[in-house]
Amino acid sequence: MTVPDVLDRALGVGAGDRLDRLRRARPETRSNVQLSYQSIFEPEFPGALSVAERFAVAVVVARLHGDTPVTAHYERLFAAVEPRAEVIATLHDVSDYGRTTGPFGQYRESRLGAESTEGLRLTIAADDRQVLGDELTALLEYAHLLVFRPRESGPDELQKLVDVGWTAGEIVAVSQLVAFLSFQIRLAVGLAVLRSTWKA
Amino acid sequence: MTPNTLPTVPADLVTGYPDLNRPTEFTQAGLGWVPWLAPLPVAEFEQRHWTGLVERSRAQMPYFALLAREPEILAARTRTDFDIFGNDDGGLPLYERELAAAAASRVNGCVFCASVHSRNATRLSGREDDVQALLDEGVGVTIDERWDALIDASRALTVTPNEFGTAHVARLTALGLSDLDISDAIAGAAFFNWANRLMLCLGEPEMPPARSTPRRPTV
Repeated sequence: MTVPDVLDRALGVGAGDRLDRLRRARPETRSNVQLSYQSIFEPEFPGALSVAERFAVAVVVARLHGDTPVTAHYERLFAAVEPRAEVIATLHDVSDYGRTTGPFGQYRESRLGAESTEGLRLTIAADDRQVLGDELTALLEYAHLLVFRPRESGPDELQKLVDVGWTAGEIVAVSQLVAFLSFQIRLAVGLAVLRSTWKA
Repeated sequence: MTPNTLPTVPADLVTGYPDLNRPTEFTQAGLGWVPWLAPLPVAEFEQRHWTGLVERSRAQMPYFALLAREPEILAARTRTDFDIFGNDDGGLPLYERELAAAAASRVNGCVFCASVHSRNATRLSGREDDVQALLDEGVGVTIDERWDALIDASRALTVTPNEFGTAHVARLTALGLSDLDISDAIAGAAFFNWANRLMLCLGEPEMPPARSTPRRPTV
């Protein structure tokens, strides 16, 4: 069975066109980027991190990056597993008030202190927390940390996830999810920009 | 299950290292890395975990043994990594893909990844001083037209909101880079936005143990 390539679909790559040929010049990368996506969003062993929660985090991570070629994909698949309009609207609100610039953050390394910078650290509002629940709220605050200030992570940040019940495997899974999206979004943006420089 | 076959649940899932010998700045020196969450013990590895590692010897490395808790994504991530940085069938020279990785790591502040990939860039290019200038001065450094363009493209692709635009591509194209060269640079910088976040969020670097002082011959 051939699974449609998510990045090709998001970018509107046509069979045999210039971007298709370019991507297929690196077939191992092309296929393993797709396998990475599938292992995260179509997991064989999802554990307690449900597919709906995975797409909820993806929606927020994509929106925190602004207008990306893959945002609509994650919106569509999240809506398919979570039809409640209130939840979708809340994720959009969180994305809006969480949007900032990055990467920023304090350096742990003593001689890099002069490069430490400040920015917006997300705390999800109490009424939104009511809608999302403590588990998803913790995931989204952690995702925001990873998107905008990954150098500020630390044992205390992981403890916040443990405190609401997430296990080591689930923390690895959500970390991979946010980190993979940070890659996939940049790959999509980069290729879209490259294509835009080509004469029709 | 009888009580003595129950898996042991650690009282503290998260480990901090208050007395760690931390690096103080970006360096090309080899660093260690300690995990804040317990790696999967080798005794608990099943076939899917070994498959996830891709290279069996990685079970000894805490970073990969921790990521092996989610082996399917680890395998796909590892094969993506190997192809972006190791496939030399045309395209951007490998040392410049390493340069893109080091530049992204410099922006994100991943001292561990920057050490590995700056060292690789030096080893493959022989340009240790130029690579060190990137670490010391950051991505605003001036080295030469080609490296400056690659470093700035990597920076623009790494920041949020994204600043990578047609001017970055035009600058690289004017320097003679092909579509494949540019897509290799994009992939290299983009991939380290994945790797940096894993390295930064699940543990931290440490200085290698001080080398034992060579014993002086007695006279």
